[in-house]
Amino acid sequence: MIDKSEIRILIATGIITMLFIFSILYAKNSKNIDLPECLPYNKTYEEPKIVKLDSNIYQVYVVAQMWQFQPAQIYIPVGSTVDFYLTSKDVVHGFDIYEKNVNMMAVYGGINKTTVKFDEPGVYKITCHEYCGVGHQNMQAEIIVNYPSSK
Amino acid sequence: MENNNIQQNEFKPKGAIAFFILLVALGLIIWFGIYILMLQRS
Repeated sequence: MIDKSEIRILIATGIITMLFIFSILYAKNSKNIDLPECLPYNKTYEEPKIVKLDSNIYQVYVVAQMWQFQPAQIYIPVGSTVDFYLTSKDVVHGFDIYEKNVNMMAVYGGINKTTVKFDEPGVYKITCHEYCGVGHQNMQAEIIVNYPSSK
Repeated sequence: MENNNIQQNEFKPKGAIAFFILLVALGLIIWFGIYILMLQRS
């Protein structure tokens, strides 16, 4: 026979597990939070560029190399949705956008993609958070989200 | 002897239960703290 305390613990564990699962599903479906993707490697991703697809939809091809990100400044209007395609020309670098859910690795021979929406104007710093050499601490870029127009 | 048995049957590890509940509560606070931060940044 199972002890009463054991049954209580099992019920509590089940409730807490369901709480975690529903919270994750809520974030995924209602808030559209998703994970970064890995894309097949293509040499064209090694050319840094900003592509404007629509008035507020952008593609940014970011190339990390010792010790800089290119493009170093990205100007977009408020409310933009940006697809970041990230790769590295040398060693492994980090790619962290301040105050956003972006935490990726830039890997030589690999392409990582994530999508971010910028609803608030401001300057969003991008920093390398994977030690990549003596100039690592200076490896930064910025996304300038301005209103009403972009450069 | 009989008294001892009664005492053992009625024993409830209150301290351990309280510690377990606090541990779970702390885990929930940390987990949901990070979760809410993630939602705010999305």
